[in-house]
Amino acid sequence: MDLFILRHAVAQERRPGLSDSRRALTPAGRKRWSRAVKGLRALGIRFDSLFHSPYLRAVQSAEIAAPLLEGESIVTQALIGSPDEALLEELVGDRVAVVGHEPWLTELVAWLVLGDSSQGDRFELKKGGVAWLQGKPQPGKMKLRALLTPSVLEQKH
Amino acid sequence: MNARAEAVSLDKLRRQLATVAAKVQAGHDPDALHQLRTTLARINVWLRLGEYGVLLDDVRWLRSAAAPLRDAHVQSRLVPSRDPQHARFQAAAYRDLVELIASDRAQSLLQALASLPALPRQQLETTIRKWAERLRKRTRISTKDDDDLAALHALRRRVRRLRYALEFAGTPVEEIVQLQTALGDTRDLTLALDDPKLKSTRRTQLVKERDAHLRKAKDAYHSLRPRLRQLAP
Repeated sequence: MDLFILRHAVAQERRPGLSDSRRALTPAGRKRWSRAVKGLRALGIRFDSLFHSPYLRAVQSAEIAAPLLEGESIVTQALIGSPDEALLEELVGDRVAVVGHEPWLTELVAWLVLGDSSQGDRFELKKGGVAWLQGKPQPGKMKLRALLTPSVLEQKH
Repeated sequence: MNARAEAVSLDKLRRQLATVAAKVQAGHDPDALHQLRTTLARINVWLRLGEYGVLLDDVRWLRSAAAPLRDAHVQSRLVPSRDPQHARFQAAAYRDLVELIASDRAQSLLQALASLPALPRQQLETTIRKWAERLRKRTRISTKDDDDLAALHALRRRVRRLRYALEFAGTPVEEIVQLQTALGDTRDLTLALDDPKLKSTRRTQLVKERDAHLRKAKDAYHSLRPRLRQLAP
């Protein structure tokens, strides 16, 4: 499997009265992520399936990445918490994308590459950044092929 | 359109979905099933208006899970049968649906719907104009062959979308409801006619009924055209 782990783009800051699940992407965040998605397209990256968290900023980020999708998109609560076996069981396909949140995405990277999700802080995934893993989606069995920042992806476009 | 109306929230539909889903889970109830499908169809349209395409796959997944059971109900109504296989099929389809409603994906969908902001008024009205124009420009209502049937069903979906969009805008149009109803009845009869066990006398009767609904659909469309021109001048 090629697994693309996408962190949602820049969103509104937390503030009283605004529920975390309803924080939207900022206009600048949308623009920047759109350019990054064009960069992914220029690299020939496509997805057979796209999983995303139910939070608004992930829904919006997934929507912007949707032109790269050649199959189905699926919303899952498994992306709003630390990764577990239930999440891995959902990830089926050859080219799979997940759109979610920190710190859970780097926990997922650490779990799949190093076999230990507690080492997530050894990886940095910026907002609008992409981690590309390859191999069997099981703990410790994947290779980290690339960690792409938004500025790198924008240059590819 | 109603210029004083505010942005269109999904909250009411979302609560309705949770309520009818619970009713379906509580017991095999054809009315609750129908409400589930129509609520999901409305949510589908709202998501298209809001450009949340990624959630359409989840809505479609849940709605299509209810389709076999709904079609079985329609078939039972139009072509009553004492075949125990029908009852077994309905029971199995109902169990599958209850399981899906309780699934992580369905619950995740509800959570996602709760995160979405209200639809801006301007976006709603721009899309209504676009859909009204498309509907006005291309319509053919006949059932001579499979292509016509497919086109008819595609038309029914477009009519339904525009109807729901207008309801969100607070400007329902009766002629659209009439057209949608006539097309829906045509579809149900077309499905019933697919039954290979249909006796010839019943088949003849159903064909007559279908053709009558088609004529109603054509009349409803002609009545609707002037309104479509007003919506998309």
